Amino acid sequence: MSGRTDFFFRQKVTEAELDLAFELLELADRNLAADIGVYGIISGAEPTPHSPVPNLTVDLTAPTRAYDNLGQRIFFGTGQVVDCSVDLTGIPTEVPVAGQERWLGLFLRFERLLSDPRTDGNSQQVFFRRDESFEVVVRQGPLGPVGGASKVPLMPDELLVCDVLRKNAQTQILAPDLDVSRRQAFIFAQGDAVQIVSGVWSILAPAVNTVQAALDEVDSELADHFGGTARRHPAGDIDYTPHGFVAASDVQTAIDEVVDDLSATTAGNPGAQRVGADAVSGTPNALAASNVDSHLSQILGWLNAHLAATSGAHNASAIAAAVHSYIAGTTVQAQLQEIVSDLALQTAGSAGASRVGADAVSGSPNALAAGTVDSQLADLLADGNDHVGATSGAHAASAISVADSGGNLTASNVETALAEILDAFEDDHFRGNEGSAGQHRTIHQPSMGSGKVLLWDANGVGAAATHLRVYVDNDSLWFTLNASWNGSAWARDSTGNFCGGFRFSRSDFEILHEDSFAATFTTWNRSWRLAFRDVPNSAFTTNGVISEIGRLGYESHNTYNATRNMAVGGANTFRSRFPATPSSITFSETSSFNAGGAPDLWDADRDGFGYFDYVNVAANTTLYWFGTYQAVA
Amino acid sequence: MPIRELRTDDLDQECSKCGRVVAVPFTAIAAGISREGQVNTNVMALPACATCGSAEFLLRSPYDEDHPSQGSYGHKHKLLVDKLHAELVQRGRVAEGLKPEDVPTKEPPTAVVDRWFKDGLRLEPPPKTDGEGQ
Repeated sequence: MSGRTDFFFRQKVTEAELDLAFELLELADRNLAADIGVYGIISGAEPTPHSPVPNLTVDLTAPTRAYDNLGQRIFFGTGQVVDCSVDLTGIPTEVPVAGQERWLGLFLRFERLLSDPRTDGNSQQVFFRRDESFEVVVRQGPLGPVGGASKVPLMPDELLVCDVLRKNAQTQILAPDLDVSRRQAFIFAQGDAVQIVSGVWSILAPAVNTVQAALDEVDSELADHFGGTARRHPAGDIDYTPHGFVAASDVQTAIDEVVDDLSATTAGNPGAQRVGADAVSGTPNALAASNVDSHLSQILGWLNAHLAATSGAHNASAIAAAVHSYIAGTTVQAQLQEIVSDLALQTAGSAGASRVGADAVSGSPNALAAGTVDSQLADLLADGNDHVGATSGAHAASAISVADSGGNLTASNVETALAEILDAFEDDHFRGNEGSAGQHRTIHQPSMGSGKVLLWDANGVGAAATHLRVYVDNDSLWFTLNASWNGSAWARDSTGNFCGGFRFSRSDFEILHEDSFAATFTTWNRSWRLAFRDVPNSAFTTNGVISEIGRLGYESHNTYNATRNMAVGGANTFRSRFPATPSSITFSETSSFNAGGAPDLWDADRDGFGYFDYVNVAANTTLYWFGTYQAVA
Repeated sequence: MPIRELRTDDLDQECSKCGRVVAVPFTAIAAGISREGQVNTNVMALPACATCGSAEFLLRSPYDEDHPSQGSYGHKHKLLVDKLHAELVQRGRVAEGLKPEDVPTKEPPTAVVDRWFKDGLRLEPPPKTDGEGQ
């Protein structure tokens, strides 16, 4: 309710009286809100960066409804764009210094919107309408270092929408720059102004029965509970979902089970088996990911194996050793190396052998006195040199044995071995104490096998092309140059040269030639064979590429007194018998007279050929033709 | 070394006397010779050498004779001569007064020719100098 005015009959009402009536009514409305404590932004006025392109303005959503601390209603129905580049007094809000910042405060403030101007009785212009309106106010705080600038204080008659952060060289206000943590949202009523009934509560006992006191009591209880000072849960009242090897369904039982299982010493099921262990790298041993029980077993095994090792347990350099005598090293490795180095020394007076003691050795004719290996070696060398330097009588040959690892001798000592060698030597040679010492007697050769047996192999001047060999087989004796018998074929010593040879037997004699340059061959591709008992046996029978050049010719005379066609010709026998009928015979003229050219060939075979011609010869005229032939077969 | 190579319509001839090599067309030679009734069908007379005047005669091998050294130069040359002789008769190139049917031939079988002349009807002369091999 509000204060009232009671206008009366025939009262002449003044402006001030009418205004008072409205003000009393408006005051009652605002007092109600203020008394209840209603104030703040009910809805709307949500700040967002300007859209579509952010700049130094901030968009506020609409519709917006709010009440300030005086109960004045603030409303706007359309979205607002708030320029944050200047404050309410027009002063720029920019931050001119790098490393500093400034907070702005966006406030809503109640305002009257005057309209409908009229002229009163005093000829003054007044506004008949004074509607409720609003104003968005930008206030700026002082500059401060980044993270340390203070925010704008709250205004008693304004509502804070949000704080806005301004930074150096800023051209856009983005979402992270908007802070609504201090936004003055709507409060309907104060908690201590609302009554509650707590008579049947079992836990909460607020000091007074108001909402505020009840919430304070809840907060205290929760603080005790969360802080663990009181109101704690028994572990048995906390549920637990069974997991892994723990089957219990509450925390108390689960913990008991964990403790029991971890402390178990049962063989094959100890607590360590339930504790995981990650992989551990190392050399020479490494552990794969498993559990503590497994790792302990492996480590124990390695340790026992190491302690029981009979070799390779440690590097000698890892084992300490005490200095002793002339050994100065402090580890086994160092001492061993030092010993080896000292033993290997060849320095006169401190050689390794001088480090090794030697006892006396009796003997005859020589004996060794006790000393060092060095001294005894010197004594032995002297004795040996004396022996080797002996110019006579050092040993009887019969006292020197022969090892004969090759099994070449019957004898077992030098004396009998020399006799045995000379017995064998003198069969085909003159002895050293005879005339023509060392020269051959008759050469005797027993049977040395079958096939072609090599009797003589001589490479007199070292040239492969003239390497001489003599073979014999069941029928013939072979002499070859640049050819050896490999068991199945003739093999060239030099593949760049011809091979030559001859063979004779009891029935024939054959000259051999091979010019193919093949590495091996089985047939001599040219040969001249004289068979002692063949027909004919007056000439060689040739084989291979044979070319013969010989003479032929004819001469005749026409004794008639008129020209006559004369038949002329003859026959020729080859020097050797060709392997076959020649395939080519060439006649070359050496001289002719009245002949019409070379004669024609006639009746050729492997032994020779005939030739003929028909020539018209003048009366009492001679004709002749002489030339050579060349035959190829 | 008369025939170096036998081709489709001619042959290369090397003169035994002077060594000149000339191409002789088949149209310049004939199988057989016939003089005054004296006929030899086995012989082919080659043109006289233009350098030295030598006259070469190629002789077809007798029917009852096989070369004792198969694969030798002499054997291969004989095969070329026999094939040339048969080729001339087949083409009707026979000496004047003869008919092809009157000239018996001894053409070597194709298999024999293929065996000894894998690279064509070509016959290189045998090496003349010791030390020419590799």
